[in-house]
Amino acid sequence: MSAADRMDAAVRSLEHARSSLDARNDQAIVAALAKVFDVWRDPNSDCRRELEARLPGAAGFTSENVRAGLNAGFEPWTGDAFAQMVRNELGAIPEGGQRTAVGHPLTSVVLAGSIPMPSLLSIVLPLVLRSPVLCKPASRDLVTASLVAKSIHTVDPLLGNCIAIVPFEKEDTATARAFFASPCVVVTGSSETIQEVESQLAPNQARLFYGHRISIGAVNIAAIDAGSIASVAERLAIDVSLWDQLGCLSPTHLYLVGGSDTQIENFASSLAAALEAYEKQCPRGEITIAAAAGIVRERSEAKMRNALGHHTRVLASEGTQWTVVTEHDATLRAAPLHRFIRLSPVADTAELINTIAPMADFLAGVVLAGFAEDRAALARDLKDLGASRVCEPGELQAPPIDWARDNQPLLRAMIATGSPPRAKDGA
Amino acid sequence: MTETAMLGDPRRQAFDQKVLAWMTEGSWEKDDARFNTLACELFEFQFAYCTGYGRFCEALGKTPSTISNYRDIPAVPTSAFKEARLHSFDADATIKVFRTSGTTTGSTGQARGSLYLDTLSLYEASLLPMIRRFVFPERDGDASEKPITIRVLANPPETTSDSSLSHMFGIALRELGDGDSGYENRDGTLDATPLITRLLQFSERAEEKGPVALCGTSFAFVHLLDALDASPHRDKTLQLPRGSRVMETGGFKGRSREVPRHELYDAIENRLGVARSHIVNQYGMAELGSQFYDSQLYESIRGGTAGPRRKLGPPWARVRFIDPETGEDVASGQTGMIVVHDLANTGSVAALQTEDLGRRTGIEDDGFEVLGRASGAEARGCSIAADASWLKAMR
Repeated sequence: MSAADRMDAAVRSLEHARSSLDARNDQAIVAALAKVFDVWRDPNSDCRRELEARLPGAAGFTSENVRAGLNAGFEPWTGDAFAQMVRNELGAIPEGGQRTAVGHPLTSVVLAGSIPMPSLLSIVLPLVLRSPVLCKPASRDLVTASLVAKSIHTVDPLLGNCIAIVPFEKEDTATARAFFASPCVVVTGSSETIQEVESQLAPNQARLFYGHRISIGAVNIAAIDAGSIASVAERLAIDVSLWDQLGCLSPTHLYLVGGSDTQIENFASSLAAALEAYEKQCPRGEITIAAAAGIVRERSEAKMRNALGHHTRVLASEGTQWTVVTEHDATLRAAPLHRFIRLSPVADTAELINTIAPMADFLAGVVLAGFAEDRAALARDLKDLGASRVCEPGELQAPPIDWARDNQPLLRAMIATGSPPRAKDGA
Repeated sequence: MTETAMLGDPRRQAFDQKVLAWMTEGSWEKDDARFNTLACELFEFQFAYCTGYGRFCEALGKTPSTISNYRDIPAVPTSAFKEARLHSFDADATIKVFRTSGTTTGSTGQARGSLYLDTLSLYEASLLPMIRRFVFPERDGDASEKPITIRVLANPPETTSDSSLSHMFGIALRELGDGDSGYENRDGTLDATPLITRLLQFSERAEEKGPVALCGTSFAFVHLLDALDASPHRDKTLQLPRGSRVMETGGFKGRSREVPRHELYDAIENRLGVARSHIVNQYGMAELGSQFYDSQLYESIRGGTAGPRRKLGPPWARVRFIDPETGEDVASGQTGMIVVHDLANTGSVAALQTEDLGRRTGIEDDGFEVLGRASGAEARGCSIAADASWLKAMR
């Protein structure tokens, strides 16, 4: 059986599974899915333990990092929080057979990266709307999607039957054509991937795209007393280090607002110490030689800027495990990731906003520290600019379940209006 | 610490003479002791006189008094040429500036790096023996050297004075080209139609016409092949005169599309009738005075022991492969960051950390292969690596 034939068989099976949900009311579906979140939230559940065991090998993270990332990420994702999110988006869930909203007959979901929480949510959300899910797992993580499907099946076999995990190669155009023929397509990926998928879709296909994003931080160092610097740095080190800085909520640049040269240097030293301590407790994963070379190159460039008379400073581990570069200006520079953070001085919040304005279309989260009474206004400005999440240090990687990723509603964009039929292959 | 070198500094002049002597004496022996002595001597000079380089080395704890092996000489990232003017002579003495192509960018997204030169003698003395040996090997060392038709798929140096590649092609044409030689670019882009006509003529007169050399960037050849496919001659199979060759250089970053090198070579072989053994890739960059060439044309023509296709360089340059985690040389055959020590770079910095990865290979590891860019983050998450191209798009 060819991959395309397998895809067709999966689609037929999902159509059948969907009809088996007809007898279920919305409340039962939401309750079952809420239970799935409670299961994932439990560090001793089978799926959590299996994911913790298998993801490091599949995705290159250390076990400690996976455990810490899952603990932080799932903490606010309770079943109750999930049900509340559904109610917030769709309104009260009726008890009887009445439907709140219905999704498309089929949703194709493309996962990217290997951070499990968004993968879980991407698979679950269409099911809330009774839309079966045809899911292409991320090439770097063939573990999470299958475990999510298994966990849903364990909680509720009928819902579990509404998921088909269909890995296929990007080059397999026949299978890709069949996959992207669904009436609703949800894609997480780079701008190039999104552009490529969009070019294959017909006008009547619903689409929801989540692009790659950048996150930053702003620290009002002049306002943070010396005794608190270390704890702020420790929490920021968690934001930087979880998932090895590869998530869209991983800050890559911290802007230091105000502050003297001494305060900036002290803060850089504290952050370096915190990253070093975190590395001992939760080591970074293995990286490719290309990634390591990228880090070394950026360090060398910064040292060269220092040699040329700029006030640039590099604090780093002996290997490439972590790096703090204090820049002399706020120029946006390359972010090689893998626990590489740049600190850039800005005079005030107005300069901060001007500096990050060019990246507004790509901005995801902003962590704020030390702003006290100015915080609300700054957070508003950042949200106006495009930030979908503004939070305190140490919280960036643990968004609430109703976080409007890319400023898009989670469910409403997947509601069918007239439920178009599944397009013919090649449409 | 950094002083300003005086115009015509006698130490520098004396050093240049030593390197020039090596370049012109025709010996290809890898004389490690000689290289090491000259590299350390040059380091001492550049440590003192190259803007910022001395401070860079000092911050790494490396000074001339602590270094006796060239492997310990700190290498500056090539991107530093985008950040500053790295020269070890008085700025007023600048006679030439070569700029990078603009398709790669530094951490600031600034598009072009610049190499400042106060003399072209080393640059030209380095490039000529190398291009003779590896692109025109039958003429290497032959006193009865006969000119060859060289068609260049790039701008002439007169119109692109800051292009090191155009300058190099200009020297090759001047020294090795016959009267039919010339440039195929008009107004900065490849003028494919007359080139195709010319290639058809060469193909039709293959029996009487001597070999032809086509030289240009990798992407220029893609452009030529695309134009050939779109032309009325798309069904014709060209067969350039026996012994014809192609010299291509550069990559595809920033271009509209990338073509794997093996596909490009297949197309050149099949569409232009140039034997694969006669397609030579050059590895070079504007920041370097010396270049490196594929070995196989030289080995196929000059005989002797032939190894795999690999890059070979001149004895006055050394290539190392560095483990980014340790900063040490990797073991034979393992991949590392490419660092070049080039004695032709007397006026700037001789030790350069490139943005490429490679590994040593060949007969007793005499050469190397370039494996691609040290590109940065892996696609394990949804964070933007904020690499140079993204930063450029932000501006």
